[in-house]
Amino acid sequence: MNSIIVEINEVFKDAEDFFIEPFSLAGEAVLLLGLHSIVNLIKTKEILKKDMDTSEVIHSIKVKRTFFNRKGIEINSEEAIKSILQGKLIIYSKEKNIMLLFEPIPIELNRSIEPPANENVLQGPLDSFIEDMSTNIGIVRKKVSSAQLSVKTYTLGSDQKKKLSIVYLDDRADKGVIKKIISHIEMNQHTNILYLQHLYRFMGMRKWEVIPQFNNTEMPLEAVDGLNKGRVILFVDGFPFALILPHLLWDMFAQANDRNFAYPIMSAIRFLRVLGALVTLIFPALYVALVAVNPEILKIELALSIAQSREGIPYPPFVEITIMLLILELIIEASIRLPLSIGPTVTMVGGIVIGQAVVDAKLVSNLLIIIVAATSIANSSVVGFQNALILRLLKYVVVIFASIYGVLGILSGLVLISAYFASREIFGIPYTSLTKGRGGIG
Amino acid sequence: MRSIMICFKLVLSLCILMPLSGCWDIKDINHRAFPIAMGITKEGEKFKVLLQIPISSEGVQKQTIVKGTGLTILKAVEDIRTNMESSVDLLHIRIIIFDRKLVEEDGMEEPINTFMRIREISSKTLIAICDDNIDSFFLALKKNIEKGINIYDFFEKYAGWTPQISLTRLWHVYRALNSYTQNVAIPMVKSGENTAVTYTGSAVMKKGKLVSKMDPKETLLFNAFHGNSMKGRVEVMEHATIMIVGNTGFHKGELRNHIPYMFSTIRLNVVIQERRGNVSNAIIKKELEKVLANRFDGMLKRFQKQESDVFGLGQYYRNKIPYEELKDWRKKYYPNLEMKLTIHTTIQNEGSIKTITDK
Repeated sequence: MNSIIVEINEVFKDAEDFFIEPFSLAGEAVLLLGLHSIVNLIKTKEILKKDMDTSEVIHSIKVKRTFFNRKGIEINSEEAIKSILQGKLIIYSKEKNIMLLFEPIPIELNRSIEPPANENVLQGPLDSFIEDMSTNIGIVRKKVSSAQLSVKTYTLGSDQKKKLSIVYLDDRADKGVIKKIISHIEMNQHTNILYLQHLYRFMGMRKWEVIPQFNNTEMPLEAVDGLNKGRVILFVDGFPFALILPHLLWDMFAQANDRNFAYPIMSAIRFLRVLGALVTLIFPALYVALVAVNPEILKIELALSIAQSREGIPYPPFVEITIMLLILELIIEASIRLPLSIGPTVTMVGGIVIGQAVVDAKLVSNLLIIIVAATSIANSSVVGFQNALILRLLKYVVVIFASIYGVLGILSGLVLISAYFASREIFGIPYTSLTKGRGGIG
Repeated sequence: MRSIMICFKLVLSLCILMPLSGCWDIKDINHRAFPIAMGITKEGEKFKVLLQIPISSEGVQKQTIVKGTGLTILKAVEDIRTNMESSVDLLHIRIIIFDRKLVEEDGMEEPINTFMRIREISSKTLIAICDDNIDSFFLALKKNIEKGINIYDFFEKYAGWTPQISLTRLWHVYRALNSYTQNVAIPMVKSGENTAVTYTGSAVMKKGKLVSKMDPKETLLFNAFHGNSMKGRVEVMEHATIMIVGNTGFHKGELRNHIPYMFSTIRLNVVIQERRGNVSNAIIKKELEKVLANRFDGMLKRFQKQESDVFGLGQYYRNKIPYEELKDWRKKYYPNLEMKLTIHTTIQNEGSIKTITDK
């Protein structure tokens, strides 16, 4: 056996899905090399055969030559290994001792385009990105029929290769941002990107950053909207969403699909989202502040009814609200993890049973249950799961401040959060910027 | 190393946060008692303070009246605090009721100054005078409150307030105590037979002491003069009953030869609701204007004699009289004040019917 084959065989000795298959191509004995798991060998063989057969009718000797001549990309063993891993078929001719690269029929490992699973669309396009990167780029291409659409693909990673594409509109995107992104990519070509956290790190984000730099979206509509606003989209092979970059504060409240509604309705919806974010941040803290620290600002009627609802409750409001908020977080986490068939049960047990029982047992007050419920509903009103997560985390900051400084603490908590948001920059663009118009980012 | 420093700083700042905040002595809302009304009287040398405290209990609203005595008001409150099972906050007090005897004998200056000084009581708290024995007044209040009637509702604009009742806040009284040019009228109440409270008129104060009284009709005019809404008031006259639906007032002061002249215009929008016999609008108008003008003149004369500037007319002369002379306003200028009051009435509506006599 030839040394090249031995070398390749050695590399794949532990891979059981690796095959070396003898085959005859136009009378010539060849070896086919590839991976069973990603190459549909039977169909590929058929194609190869067919290709030969039709040609053979005309003049067989010529074809024998042409087959090896037309795809005469000779490769060495190292390239061969890389190509095999990427799902290519290697045809090795013993006679000539050359290896040729062949694009086989792949085993279908991708799902088809489906409606988005994590984001809901109301009266908008129902397609969503899938794991396969080239399909995703195809979807974007189809929606933006423009020669200005630039697609740049990089292969990153030292031992586990991953493809990363940057897509942007040449005439709209901020040149500075693109330059920075590309320089980051080129600098970190050997970093493995297994998770988005790796991507965050290599894009130069701090480890303890709360604000995500990317707006993850499943919806092509959002991605195209981003492109038109001059933003850059990253596609990572294997991730079923687009990463719109930079991600700004206003993305928490505005969705491209809103523009499918009339302007007043759009404004009202967005206003509601802003309200939802404020309610999430303020409501739990307000409860703590009013009940524990500053009851004097309540109207006497309200003060009395709150005092009545808290009669006999052993915990201070801060402990009380922390318990309920944590239970709520657990319910949310559990219902995400659990299969759809059990999810509703958890919700029911968590919401109705615990909610009712905890009040009956006089562990928390009625009012608190209302507050917690309102908070969790309001929390979900913002766009994007990652944005809801930020709010979920930040509300605790405000609650802690409120438990110490009361109403003043709520204010200082909000000021702190605003200051933090205002201090953030993503690729040189302030997180809180609202630039509008052509070429604008916001 | 860097992360250790960050941790250290974090712990340090948390440690600083705790002592700075003062959060160790906060008390939950269910461990506080919120008195809503405070009564003040004097027993011999000692102050006696009554607090009306709602008790939160399952279902029904209950109230208790607690009493304390002490040489000072706060001492008396402290007396109550010591004997109460929950902490007593004065933050929610909505009305402070003074005993008439106390106001007549000692004046309100001392208690009012105390309330302003401690800053625990809202300066928006209402002040009233009890024309009755304050103990029995509070006892009657307690009975009524268990029926769901609260005394402060009596003074609330969205509830029981009518334009005949003067509304006086703590800061009004404090201002009157320290102002050269303004006095204050304080509503007087006593326990009623059928209702919780009966309004008997307003006390006209001078330097914290009661010097004269306004009856409810006069208080209405007093409120109109200050531009307080009189909407809904039904005025009964010889020939008609009218309802005042809107009022505005314009006042202008002039000083000639050290004699202050006041030109006031009060505009009333009225609706005729009842008519007796065939009277024209003009007669009704004239009658109303005459009645009001006479009433106002009588009032002002009385107050001028008492040197109590309850209308705050002196406010219009603050820029006309030198500051050092301003303190003599009540003695020197006010008694000589000449008032020219014009009342304009617009009959806005005659009810749903029209009478022929108008033509």
